[in-house]
Amino acid sequence: MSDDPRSESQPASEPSGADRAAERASTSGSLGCQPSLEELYRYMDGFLDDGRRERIRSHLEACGGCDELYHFHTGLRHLVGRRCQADLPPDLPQRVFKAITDLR
Amino acid sequence: MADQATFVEDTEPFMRSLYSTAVRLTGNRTDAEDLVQETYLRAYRSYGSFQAGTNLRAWLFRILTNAHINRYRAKKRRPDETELDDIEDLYLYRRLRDETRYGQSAEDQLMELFSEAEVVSAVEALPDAYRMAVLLADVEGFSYKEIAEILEIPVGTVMSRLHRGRKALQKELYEFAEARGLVSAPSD
Repeated sequence: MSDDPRSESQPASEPSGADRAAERASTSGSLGCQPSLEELYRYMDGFLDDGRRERIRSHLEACGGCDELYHFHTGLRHLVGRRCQADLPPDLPQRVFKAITDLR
Repeated sequence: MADQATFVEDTEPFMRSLYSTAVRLTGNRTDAEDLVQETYLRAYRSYGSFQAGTNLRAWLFRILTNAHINRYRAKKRRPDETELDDIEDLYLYRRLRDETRYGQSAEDQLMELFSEAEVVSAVEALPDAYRMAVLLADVEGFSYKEIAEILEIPVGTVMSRLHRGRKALQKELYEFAEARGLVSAPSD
């Protein structure tokens, strides 16, 4: 990837996702808008303990902005998952296992 | 100990997903077939050391990614991360949010917007280390712990590669959308 002349001028001062979500959310849950993108990923990928997972879940129920962001990321994950499948060549298993049989 | 006599029936169900991953790692079907062939030969030879009842699918993916790394001298180490540091996490999200049609789900919108060729090309453009993490998580559905075992890296490294890989992917996709005039150039 080359340098991108259109890159944001002040990335460090950009509001975080949670901040932007907070701007749009009318109410916030028990967490406020605390989940970072890393934490949303861990939630999406099933890598949180029960307590934290439950707090994120109830936050997403209460906060439209974070919920929207979360759905975007799950949508992207599914997009990659669905578009990257490749059909197995029908004769490949036979060729692979013949090579193994020949070893025996 | 796993028994070589049951190797074929034990491992055949995983060939389709191993092949899919091989295609995205090598970028073409011929090399992917060779990589799958090599993976199965290596797996067969060391099947005696596989602990029956443990995670066979992860074990096969570990052999596949190692074979790929050896064959193509793919970079197992962390790629240069500085080039991604200036990409904002919410690059694609922020741009697309403004174009969303009312009532359409994010997934439907993304599926409509990006063709298979574009998504594949964005994935294949990722540096190897990030691509492996994204494929194992988002295509194969492995957990962080499984990916850590497959790639022989700490879980924290899995998370950072996945985060950076997904971020780079969004940047690539955004550029496709912009090139086709589907989103307007940033004005802020």
